[in-house]
Amino acid sequence: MLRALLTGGAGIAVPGVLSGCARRAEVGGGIGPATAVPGGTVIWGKSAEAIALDPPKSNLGSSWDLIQVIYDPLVELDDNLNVVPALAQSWQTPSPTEYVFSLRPDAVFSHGRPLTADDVVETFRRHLDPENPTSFASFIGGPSTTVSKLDDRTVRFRLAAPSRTFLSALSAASAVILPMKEIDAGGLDPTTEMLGTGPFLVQSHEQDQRWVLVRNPHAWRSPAADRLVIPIMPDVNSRIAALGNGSIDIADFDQPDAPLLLSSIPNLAVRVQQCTDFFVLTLNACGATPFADPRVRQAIACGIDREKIRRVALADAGEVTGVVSAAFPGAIPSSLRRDPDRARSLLAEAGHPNLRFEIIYGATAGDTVGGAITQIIQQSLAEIGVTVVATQLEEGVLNQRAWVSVPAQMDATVTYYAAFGGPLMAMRNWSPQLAPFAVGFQQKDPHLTELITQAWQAEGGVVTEAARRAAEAIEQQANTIPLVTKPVVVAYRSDRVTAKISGLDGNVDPMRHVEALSRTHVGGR
Amino acid sequence: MTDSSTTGAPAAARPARSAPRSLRIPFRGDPLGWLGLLLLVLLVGVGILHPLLPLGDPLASVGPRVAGPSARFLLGTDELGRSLLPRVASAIGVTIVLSAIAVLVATVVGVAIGCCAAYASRRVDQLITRVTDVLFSFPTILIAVLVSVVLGPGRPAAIVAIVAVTLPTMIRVARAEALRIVELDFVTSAEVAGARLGWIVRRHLLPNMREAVIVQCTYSISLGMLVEGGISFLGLGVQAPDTSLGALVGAGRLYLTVAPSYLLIPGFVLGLAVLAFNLVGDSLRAQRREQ
Amino acid sequence: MAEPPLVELDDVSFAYSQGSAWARVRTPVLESFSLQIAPGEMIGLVGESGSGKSTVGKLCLGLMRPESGQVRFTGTPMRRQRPGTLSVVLQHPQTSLNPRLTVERSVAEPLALARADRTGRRERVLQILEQVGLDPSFAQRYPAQLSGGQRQRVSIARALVTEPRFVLFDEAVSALDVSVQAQIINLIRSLQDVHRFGAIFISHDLRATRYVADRIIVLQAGAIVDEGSAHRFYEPAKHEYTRKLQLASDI
Ligand SMILES: Nc1ncnc2c1ncn2[C@@H]1O[C@H](COP(=O)(O)OP(=O)(O)OP(=O)(O)O)[C@@H](O)[C@H]1O
Ligand SMILES: [Mg+2]
Repeated sequence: MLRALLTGGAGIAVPGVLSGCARRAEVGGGIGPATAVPGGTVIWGKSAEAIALDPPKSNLGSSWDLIQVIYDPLVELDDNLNVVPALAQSWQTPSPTEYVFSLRPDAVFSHGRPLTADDVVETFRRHLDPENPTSFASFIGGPSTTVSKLDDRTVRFRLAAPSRTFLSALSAASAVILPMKEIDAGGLDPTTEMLGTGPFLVQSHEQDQRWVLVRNPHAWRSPAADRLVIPIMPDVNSRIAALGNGSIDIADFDQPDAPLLLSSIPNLAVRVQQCTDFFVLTLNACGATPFADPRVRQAIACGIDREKIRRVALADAGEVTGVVSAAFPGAIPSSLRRDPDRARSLLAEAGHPNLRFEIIYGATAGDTVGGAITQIIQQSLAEIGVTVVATQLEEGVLNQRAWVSVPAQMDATVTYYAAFGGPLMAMRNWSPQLAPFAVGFQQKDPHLTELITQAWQAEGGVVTEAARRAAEAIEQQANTIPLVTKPVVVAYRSDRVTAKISGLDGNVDPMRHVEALSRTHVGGR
Repeated sequence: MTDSSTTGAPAAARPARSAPRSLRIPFRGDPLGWLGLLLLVLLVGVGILHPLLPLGDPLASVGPRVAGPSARFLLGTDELGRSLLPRVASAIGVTIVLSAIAVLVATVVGVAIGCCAAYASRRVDQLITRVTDVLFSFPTILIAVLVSVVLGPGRPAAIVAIVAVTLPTMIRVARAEALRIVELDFVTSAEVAGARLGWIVRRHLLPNMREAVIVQCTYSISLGMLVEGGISFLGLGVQAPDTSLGALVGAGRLYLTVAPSYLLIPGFVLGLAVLAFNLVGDSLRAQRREQ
Repeated sequence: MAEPPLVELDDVSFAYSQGSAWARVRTPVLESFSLQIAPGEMIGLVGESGSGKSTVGKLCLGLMRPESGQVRFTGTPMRRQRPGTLSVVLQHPQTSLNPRLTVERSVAEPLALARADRTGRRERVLQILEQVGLDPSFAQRYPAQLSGGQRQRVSIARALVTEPRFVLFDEAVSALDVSVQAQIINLIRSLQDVHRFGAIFISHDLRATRYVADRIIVLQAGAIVDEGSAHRFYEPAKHEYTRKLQLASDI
């Protein structure tokens, strides 16, 4: 389920100049009665090992949360998904295709070298390499975008066209700034070592066991805790037990049921974090398959009871969503409605009244949401005469069959798409031209790609006419059907630590306010 | 000690021992054996006849999520609000039937290989024995997981996994029995009279191996149910929305603190089924030893 | 023109090999061993345990191949004979019959193997059972319902039901009670008078052997140490080893 692939395109800049006030974390600014005393060790039971450490190449949410603890991006999202300063203390948009960022003077890598404009320029040159652009590059305009240094603390991006996704994309884990001087000199391998400007630095790491992070002495945003120990605990029950017996202080959960499971543990603060990520049912419409016929896909889209998925599979924790994640304030509501009669007649029209297909889904230890969603789909499609065979696959096999093979070796899969900090960013996943990973299952539709590109370039608020047209076309195409948002649950021992957990996140970063994490009693451990 | 053979005294004059046609009167004076048999009949009955019983629909989401036992849902509900009573009942059937089918296959193959080993040249026999030993020394669940990864998850994988796990023991038992029987005088007599391999296997080996093989089957089925449990627990066996006892235990594990019955009841039933087969197996074995 | 011997061991050597396929242990049993059995002749084979009697018997039945030399049946090299030509009665009454088969089915087995006419089989079985002294009521019994002597009778019936040309009796009476032994030996004797099959009668017991056999061969450590017509063995033998056997079994 750890899938977070995205597409980019051109977009129009959000006009406006935000002068950056450095966001110093308010220690103890959230929940927990006790006052935090800075210092101490906090233990975070992490649900999955971070295995894709090189930020530009990393497409796994389970790596992003750690990357965002070690590195900083130019800009960040606040709790309402507004773009706010980070390494860039301010920026200007002299024209809709031009961004000029001034860097913080106090940003220093954890080995002591101050951040320079060269680091930023070189970081993005890696993304925008015309030979081999990263998957992320399309969000910032692709290889036609140029990045240059104006002086040691000023960097300029020039885009070929306006982009609605550019600025929020810069807040993503993939866009964090690397110490390019060391990397280019060959002294640092970003795929195995992590060296950033973030609040913590890596002291030690045992694969699949634990990370030990300590405070980055040079951090411009110094964390409250001295140490952050991160045991890797894929098993839900062990995380629950460890929270209960105090061997960990904080943990993240993919299970919407986590609040229920944790309800018996005293002194536990449990926060459901809404995420822009959302679950989808991806139909493989490439090749000789019933799904090549749009009527069959629309029938499936009308047959699925998404409200039941929300209620049962998500335990009421998320929301039914359209192409623009319902987690975004002011999102475009989904145009899809459950209509079994229409579904049946579409199937009959298409000549597949008794359609039968297989949904493959992955399952990491204890992650049961994909299975639950699949089973609800199974139930609701049974009502329109469609038989769904559900098959749970090992993650590697699933990846190969669904995302690597062209054409994809599947009928359909339940997965989730990362939607990031910009409402329109996830749209690119419906265009194989913009999102190469989709080429194995997503029908090529130049018209749709055109609509998405227009939406990305249109000016106005979130709900531009262009965005609405694109969203509706995507939902009518029904090649990949948006289902429900994907909430995350974070729980921490309020008697032992103070933490600030944001209620809404766009970059798969449950520990977004990691610098606010602190032991309540120093020397308590 | 005089012999009455020449007189051909009527059979009634002799204490008429029942013909040892194996398992005709099982478990005489063996309450544990009876208990096992009773449990078995009960479990198999419920597992197979559950669609006819008024237990509810095992697939419909009709209740609250993850609720403990109540008057309406006697065993509670699962994470999709499905009643656990019919789900456990159908899981019993799936678990026992899968295991039984697999053990049937393992028995046919194992007996065939065992008979061949007994009749093959010593080199071939030793090869079979070594391969069996190697297979036997693999951790059970590793074989099972390997099989389901290679074949893809699902019932066939579960069956093949159980076959892979139970086959070595079956070959051992069959081979040992075949070797023992081949040495018996009546087989030599048949050979001298012109019997060929097929005849001997059919007439002499199979009927005389039967009991040992049946006893082994009962143990294999209980092992098979545990294997099925293991791989379904890992999500590699029976696929949703169908379920097996192992799959239920795997799913219920998450809710141990909230609705312990979700894990404990299928776990208990699985234990009961294993126990039933083992009790029956023990009884059959004890009875065989007596004969 | 002399009739060829029924069974002939011609300069036969034989050794058992044991152990794993990679570490063989050879146990030589016979060396340059020769023996001829005329049609209808009953040879008595005596000797102490381990002297090689059963080995000789199995070679005569073609159950094993000699290392060197030749085994011939009616003058031609031994190969698979037509079913029903050869048969055997072995020592252990407990294992001589398949416990799963009724007496009738056991006795009929060689007939079935010889593809004897199905309709006549039952009659033939009852007839041979009568000849070995068992009335038709035994036909439906299982071995577990028979005494040791009765089982041996059934074995004999089974061995003779196809009127074989050569029968091996390997310790056919040794496991039985003495009084029963006499009955069975009488039975074999009388059946041989009727059926005129060639036979080897193996026994430790010289007394029984000399009663049933035409000719007696004394075996010691795989070699023939004494040989002669049966009545010769009623007198004290000249050969020292034979004398010992006489002492052991006679008085
Ligand atoms: N299957 C076998 N493998 C190896 N050695 C054997 C085997 N059968 C017999 N022998 C050996 O061969 C020799 C002759 O055995 P054989 O059975 O012919 O003796 P025997 O005269 O029939 O003895 P007994 O009166 O005890 O039946 C013995 O030393 C015995 O140990
Ligand atoms: Mg012998």
